[in-house]
Amino acid sequence: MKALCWNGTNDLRVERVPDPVLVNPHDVIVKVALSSVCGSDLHLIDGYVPTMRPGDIIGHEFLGEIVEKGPEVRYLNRGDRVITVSIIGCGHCGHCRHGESSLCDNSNPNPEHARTAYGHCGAGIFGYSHAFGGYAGSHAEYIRVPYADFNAFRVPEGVSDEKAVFVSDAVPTGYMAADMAGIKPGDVVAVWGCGGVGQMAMRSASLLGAERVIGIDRVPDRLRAAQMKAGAETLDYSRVDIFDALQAMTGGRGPDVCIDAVGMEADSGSNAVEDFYDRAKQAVGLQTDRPAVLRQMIESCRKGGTLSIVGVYGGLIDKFPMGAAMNKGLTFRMGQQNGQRYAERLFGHIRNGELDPSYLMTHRLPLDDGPQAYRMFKEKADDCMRVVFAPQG
Amino acid sequence: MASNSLTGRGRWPQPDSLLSGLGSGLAGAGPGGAATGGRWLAMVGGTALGVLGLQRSGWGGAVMALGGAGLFAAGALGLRPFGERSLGTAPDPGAWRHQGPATRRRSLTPERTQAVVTIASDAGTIFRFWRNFANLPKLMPQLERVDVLSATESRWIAKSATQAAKGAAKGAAGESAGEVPNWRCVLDRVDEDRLLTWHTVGETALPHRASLMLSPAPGDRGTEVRLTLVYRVPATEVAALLGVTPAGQAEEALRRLKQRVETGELSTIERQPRGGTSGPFREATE
Ligand SMILES: NC(=O)c1ccc[n+]([C@@H]2O[C@H](COP(=O)([O-])OP(=O)(O)OC[C@H]3O[C@@H](n4cnc5c(N)ncnc54)[C@H](O)[C@@H]3O)[C@@H](O)[C@H]2O)c1
Ligand SMILES: [Zn+2]
Ligand SMILES: [Zn+2]
Repeated sequence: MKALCWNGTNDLRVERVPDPVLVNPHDVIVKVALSSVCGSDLHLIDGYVPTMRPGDIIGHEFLGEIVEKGPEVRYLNRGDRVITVSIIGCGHCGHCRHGESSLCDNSNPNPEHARTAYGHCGAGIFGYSHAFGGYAGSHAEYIRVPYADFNAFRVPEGVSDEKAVFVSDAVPTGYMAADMAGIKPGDVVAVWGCGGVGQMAMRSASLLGAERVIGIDRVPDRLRAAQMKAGAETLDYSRVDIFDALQAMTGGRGPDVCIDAVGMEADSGSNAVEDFYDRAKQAVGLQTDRPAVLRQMIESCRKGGTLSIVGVYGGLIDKFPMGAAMNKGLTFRMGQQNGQRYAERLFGHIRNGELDPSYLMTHRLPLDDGPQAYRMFKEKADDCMRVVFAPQG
Repeated sequence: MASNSLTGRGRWPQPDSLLSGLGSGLAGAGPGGAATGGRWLAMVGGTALGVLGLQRSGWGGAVMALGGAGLFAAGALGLRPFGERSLGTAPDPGAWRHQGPATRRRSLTPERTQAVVTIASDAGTIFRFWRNFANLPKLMPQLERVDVLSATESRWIAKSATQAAKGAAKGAAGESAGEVPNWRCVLDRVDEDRLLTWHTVGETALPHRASLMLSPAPGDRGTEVRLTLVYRVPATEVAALLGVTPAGQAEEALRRLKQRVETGELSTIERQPRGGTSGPFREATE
C-alpha cells in the first residue's frame, strides 16, 4: 500500500510499504477513507520529537471502514464506518477505566523512552514517534487498530465523514481542554491558538457554559474562523499586547480560564527579544520547548483561575514564572486527550447541530500530495486550517 | 496594570545568560540528533545548570557550573544520572532497557532484585495464573518451558542466551539441552492469594530463590504485585546465561503479567508496515 513516511526533519515521502496485518486478537484493520494532518505532526516534522525513525508512517486523526477483525473483537464488525481515537487505550487498566486512557499503562509497547524521560510511561499514539509506542500512523491506505472495541467508534447515521473524522483528535482535544477547566456560568475563557484544536476548544467552551470566549492568534483566516464559526471575540497577538488587551476586556480581572492550544512551538510575535531567546535556546538544546504562551497565560489569568493545557510539550522549558503561578493561586490542568471518554457525547452534539467541525477541512487531497500539503499546512498558506488526505483516491 | 506585563517588556531574556547559554550549548552539540531519553534529559539539564552557574559569581557559581558540565558530559557519554532508580548499591548494566510501563524496580544488592506493579484485578486471578508455573514462559520469554513435576516440584528449561535474545523458535532447546541453563525448583510457601516463594535445588549454573507477594492496593486500584529474585551469582552471569539481567527479567515478567491479566494480550508493533527502505514511492513504481 501507499503511506506517507517520515524520513528526517522536513523530509516526508510517499512510499510503497507492506499492508498491515492483524497481530493481536483485539485488533482490527481499517481501510482509511480520510486522514487529517494535525498541529502535533509539525512537532515531528520540525524535528522536536527525538524518537522518530526514518520510515515511520505518520498521521493519527482518521476515519475508515473495518475490513478485518481479530477473533476477540466483540462489538465491531466488518463494514462498520468508524473513527479511531488518536491515543490508544487498552480499555482495562486503572487509567482507562477512569476515563484517562491517554495515560494507559498497557498500550505503549516501547515504554523505556518515556519511563526514562518522564518517570512513567503514557499511552501509545498512532504515528507519533517511538516514545509513544512507535505505532504506524494513518496516512496510509490501511491501518491496524489495537484494542479496537475500546478505541474505534461507529459513526452514527446522519453524521458525514467530513464532520466525523475530527472526532478522532481535534474535537475531543478541544472539548477536553474546556471540560477539565471546570467552566462555570459567567466565566470568560481565553484560548491561545486558533488552529483546529483551538477552534474546537472555543466552541466547546461555549457549549459548556462560558459567558464569553476570546481566541488569540495572528493568522487572519483563523481569527476570522474563530469569530464566524466558533463564536469567539478575537485578538491578534502580533498587533496588541495580549496581557493589556485581556485585562481591558475583563474589567481588570483577567480571564477565568486560559487554554493553551499552541504548544511547544509557540512564537512570541509581539516580543522579538523573548522570541529570539526562546528560539536560540531551543535550537541549541538548552530548552526543548518554547513556553511563550504558558508565560502569557500565567500572567494574564485571573487570580485563582485555571490554566488548561492541551498544546503539546515534550521536554524542558526555561524561565517558567512559578512565582506568579503560585502567588496567584492558579490551577493547572493538562494532558493528552482522552477521546474515548468523549466520543459518544461529541457525536451527540454533532447530530444535534450544536457542533460542526467540518469547516476545519479546508483542503482534501490525495496522499501523493502529502509532502506539499504539510508544507502548506505548516506555512498556513492558502487559508489552510487542516488538510485531509483521501488515501483511497 | 500594564507595569505587570512580562511579555511586553522583554523581562525574561538576560543578555549574559543568553550568551553563556549559547556558548555551553554549542560546545556540546544539542540533543537534536541521536541523543534520546535520559541522555537527552541529562544533556539539557546539564547545560541549563551550567548556564545558571555561569550567571552567578563566586564559588557557588563555579560549583554549579561544574555540576552542570558534569551532567552534560554524563548525557553526552550516555550515562544516565536521572535514569537509574537503584539505591546505589547495584551497578546493573543494561537493566534499564527492560523497564515496564508501570513497574518499579529496585536493585537492593547486586544479586537481589525487586520489581513491583499494580494490576487492576483481584489477587486470586493473579495468584492462580502464577501458581501454575507452566504459565511462566509466557511472562519470561527467556524460558523455553516449565514442567510441573508434582504439587511442589517443577523443572525449568531456559532458552540459550542467544536464542532468547533473538526470541528464536522452540525445538532448539531439545537439541542443545546440555548447554541451556535449566534447574529444578521447589515451592517453599504457598499462602493463598498472598505469597508464593520457591527456590532452586540441586546442581545448576543459576542457583536462586524468588518470591511473589500480593497485597491489595488502596481503593479500587486492584492488587500490588511484588516479585523478588535473589540469585547466588552476579547479575552479569545471569545476563550471560539467560540474555537478560535479573532486574530486566523481573521487570519484564511483571509488565507481561499485568498486560495478560488486564487485557489478555501483549501490546506490540511487530510486523507492522514501515517505509524508509524503498525510497520515494514514485521512484519505486515508475
Ligand atoms: N493534547 C492532545 O491530545 C493534543 C491533540 C491534538 C493536538 N494537540 C496539540 O495542540 C496544539 C494545536 O494543534 P493544532 O492542530 O490546532 O495546531 P496548528 O498548528 O494548526 O495551530 C496552532 C496555532 O497556534 C498559533 N500560535 C503560535 N504561537 C502563538 C502564540 N504565541 N499565541 C497564540 N497563538 C499562537 C499558530 O498561529 C497556529 O494557528 C499543538 O501543540 C498540538 O500538538 C494536542
Ligand atoms: Zn493530533
Ligand atoms: Zn489502559
